[in-house]
This record gives sequence, C-alpha cells and structure tokens, in this order.
Amino acid sequence: MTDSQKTPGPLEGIAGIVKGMWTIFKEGFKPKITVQVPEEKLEYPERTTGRVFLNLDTCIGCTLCEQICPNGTIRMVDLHYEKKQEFDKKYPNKREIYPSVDVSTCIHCNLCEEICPTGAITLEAEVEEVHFKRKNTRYTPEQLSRKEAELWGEDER
Amino acid sequence: MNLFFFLMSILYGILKFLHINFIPYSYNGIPVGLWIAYLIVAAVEVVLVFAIAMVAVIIIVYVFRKYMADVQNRIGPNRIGPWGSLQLIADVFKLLQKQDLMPTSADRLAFKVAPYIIFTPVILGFVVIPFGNVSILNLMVVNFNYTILFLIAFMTVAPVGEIIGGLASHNKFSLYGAMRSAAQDMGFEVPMLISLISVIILAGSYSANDIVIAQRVIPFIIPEILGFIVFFLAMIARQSIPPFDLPESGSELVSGFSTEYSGMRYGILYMGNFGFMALASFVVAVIYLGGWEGPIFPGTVWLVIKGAVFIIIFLLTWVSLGRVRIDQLLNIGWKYLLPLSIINLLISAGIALYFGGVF
Repeated sequence: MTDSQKTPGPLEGIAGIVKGMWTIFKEGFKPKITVQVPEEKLEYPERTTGRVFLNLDTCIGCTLCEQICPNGTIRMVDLHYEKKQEFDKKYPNKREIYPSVDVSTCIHCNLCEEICPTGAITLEAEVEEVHFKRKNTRYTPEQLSRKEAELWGEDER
Repeated sequence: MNLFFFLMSILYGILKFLHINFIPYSYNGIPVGLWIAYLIVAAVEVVLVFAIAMVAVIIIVYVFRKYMADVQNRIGPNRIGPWGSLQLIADVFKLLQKQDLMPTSADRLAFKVAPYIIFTPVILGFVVIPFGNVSILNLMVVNFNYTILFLIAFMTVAPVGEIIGGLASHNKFSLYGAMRSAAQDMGFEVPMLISLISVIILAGSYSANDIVIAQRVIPFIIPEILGFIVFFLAMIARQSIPPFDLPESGSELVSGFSTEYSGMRYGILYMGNFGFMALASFVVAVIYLGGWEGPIFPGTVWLVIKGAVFIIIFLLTWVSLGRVRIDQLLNIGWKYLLPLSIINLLISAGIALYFGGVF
C-alpha cells in the first residue's frame, strides 16, 4: 500500500476539512464573473463569430454562400436594390439576388465568410438576436446590412 | 435596536412601579390593576420577540444567499429592493399565493400541525436570550433561574415536529427523513446536554444571564474548548445543515421530511430553519463567548457581533462541506462526541473543584 492509498487519520481529516473551508472562504473575495445583462454588457473580442452581416454594395449574388451553408440557413432571395453606376461597371454580371439568413438556425460556422469571393458576408460581434415571433427570425438582406440595435422596434419584435 | 430595548425597559419599569406603588393588588379580594399591566407588557413582549426573530431570519436568509453567491463568484439576489434585500419578502408573498396542497393519504391534522411545532420553539427560544443590560436592567424578555433548561427543552421539541411531519406525509422519502432526523437528534443531543452541564458546573447557575456574568473574567471557550467543539457540532447537526443534513438531504431523499410541503407551510419550515440558525448562534455566543460582555460598545452590539461570527461559520460549513454518511454521522455522535463531552465534564468539574469560586 502506497502513501496515497492510506486512509487518513482523524487529525489529517480535520486538517483536510479546515483546508477545504479556507479555500472556499478565500473564494468569497474574488471578483464576480456574472454580468447583469440588460444593464451591463460584455465586450466581445473582434474575432467573435456572431450574427451574419452583409454588405449590399459588394455582394455579387454568386450563391456560393447558399451552397456552402451546412443546414440551409442561407437562402437567396430576390431583391430590387438600387445599384450605383460605378458598381454596375465593376461587377457587370450582377444578378439581383442576395442571401437571407435565418438567425435561429445559424450555427455561426463561418463557412460563408470564408467562401465569399468579395468579402461581402462577415460574421461580427453581434449576439443579441431576440424575437417574439418565429417568422421574424429570417432576416432580409436589407436587415442583414444593419446593426441589431437599429433593428429593434421594427415589425413587432 | 438597543434604543428599542431601552424604551421597553422604561415601559416595563414604569408599569412595575405603578403596579407596586399605586395599583392595589386586590380590592375586596378581587385582584385589580395586576392583569392590565401584565397584559400590556406581555403584548409588547410577544411582538418584540416575534420581531427579533423575523428580523434575524430576514437578515440571515439575505446574508446566506449573498454569501453563497460570493463563494460561487456570482452576484446573488439583486432585483428587489436595494441590493436585493427584499427578496425574502417577495418570496413569502409568492409562497402565500400558492395552492395549499396536501397528499391524499396524509394524516391531515398532523400534517398541518408539524410546521408550527418546528417553528414555535424557535420563537420561544428567543425569549430567554440575554440581549444585554442597561445599568441594572437585564434586556431579557423573561428572566428566571432556569432559563438554560427552558431553552434546551424548547430546542429539543422541534425534532418532534420533523418526525411528525415526516410520518404524516405518508411518503417513503419523508419517512426515511423523519427516521434519520430521530437518529441524528438522539445521537447529538446527549453530548450537547453533557457539554452544557459542564458549563452549568463552571457558572454555578442555570440562568443564561448568570452564565454571561460568570464569563466576565475569561470566556468559557478557553477552559472548555472540547465542550465548545461538541456543542457547536451538535448545533450544526440540530439545524440539519451540511455536513449533517441527512434528514433533508436533497439528492438522495428529495428533501426528506419536507418533501410534501409546499406553499406557506414550506415557508414556515424554511423560516424555522433559519430562525434556529439565529437562535443557535446567539446561544453559542451566550454560553461560550461571553454574550453581551465586552468593552466600549453596548452589550447588544457585542452579542450581535459574536452571533454574526458563528453565523458566518455556519454558512461557511454549509457551502463548503459535503454530506457524511449515516453510519459516519452516528459514529461521530456516539463514538467521538460523547466521550469528548464526558472528558470535558470531568475537566470542568476539576476546574470548579480546584479554583472554587473564580469561575
């Protein structure tokens, strides 16, 4: 029988209890890790893969993001969007389709950002996607281009 | 609180003065004046004791929640009232709104009575705690020569309530909880009483106030360290908080004898538990740490400080220690604490014999 397998005596047991209690006592003076979410906000690092953001100006409607998306979260929708003249010259093959994202099924896998040829889709540090109705969780391309705070109060959400 | 006590003492003194000097004991054989004075005093005292107990419960529950949150690096209650201090009151209102549920096969009368059997002795225990003194007036609600016996008698009533509640619930887990409660209380009350006897030997009195006065030279924790350990462990066991929470062990017995209780009945059990924690800390402070004796501050402040130390230790054991097995618990009670308390009794008897009237 090695030392580690020996049954502790009463004094060792009491010492262990006191040591454990002292450890717990010291824990009471450490800073709190919880955050009061509505009032306080955590600062997310820049590399956080949160909600999908879309730059409507650079999106060329190539549907690569729809093809790479693992669970059908991204679907292309038709959208009449006023294009600028220079934009038309730069991307002459522009089709008038843009990705829409269902934020309730998005798994933030970052594949769409990696596949995007023009860098139009990015996943940024935006996590507060709150909705009361399920139909509102599918974001239109126009909603995807805006920040979450600007969207609050729109269409009864 | 001290001011309140002071006003109480003045009222009491005035009524006693009136009673002795002006109001005749009897008029044509019928006692007059006697009952009205004592009725007023008794009414004020009842309200006072209940207020002390309830305030203690509210403070302890708040401190418990905040402290448990602290050691778990959380914030704790922080929504209702300043820093969440009114959380317990909100909880009580929530419990009052709940449906009054009772198991169909339960013993109805016993089931209803059991929470009050647990709760009432806790309130009555506060009656005999000496909270301090203002010049010659003792700040006790009642003062007589056998207050410690009274206190111990009422402390030992509450386990009966647990057993009644567990049996009346007609539930396997509640029955297990009640049986464990009986075994635990029997195992720890004998050493507790023996260690208390050694205090009474040293103080030479059964009165709690005399025990406090006897510790003016040296607190009893120094000559009676063994008895203190025994009594303190017995107090932890009596409250059934970890590591001795076998009667209501949450994970194995689904909270034991209180499984079937809900709504305000559970609230009363809960308040009884925390009220006993306050009572136990005051009793330990009075018996072993010199109660209201202390320099500079008034006596009540000293008693509250000493009680608060024990409450923090109770809470620390609660949040940090695991539960012992039932055989380990009975071994601790009968095999270790009982011999320790008897050794302590012999030591204190020797001290009393050798030093005589010093203590």
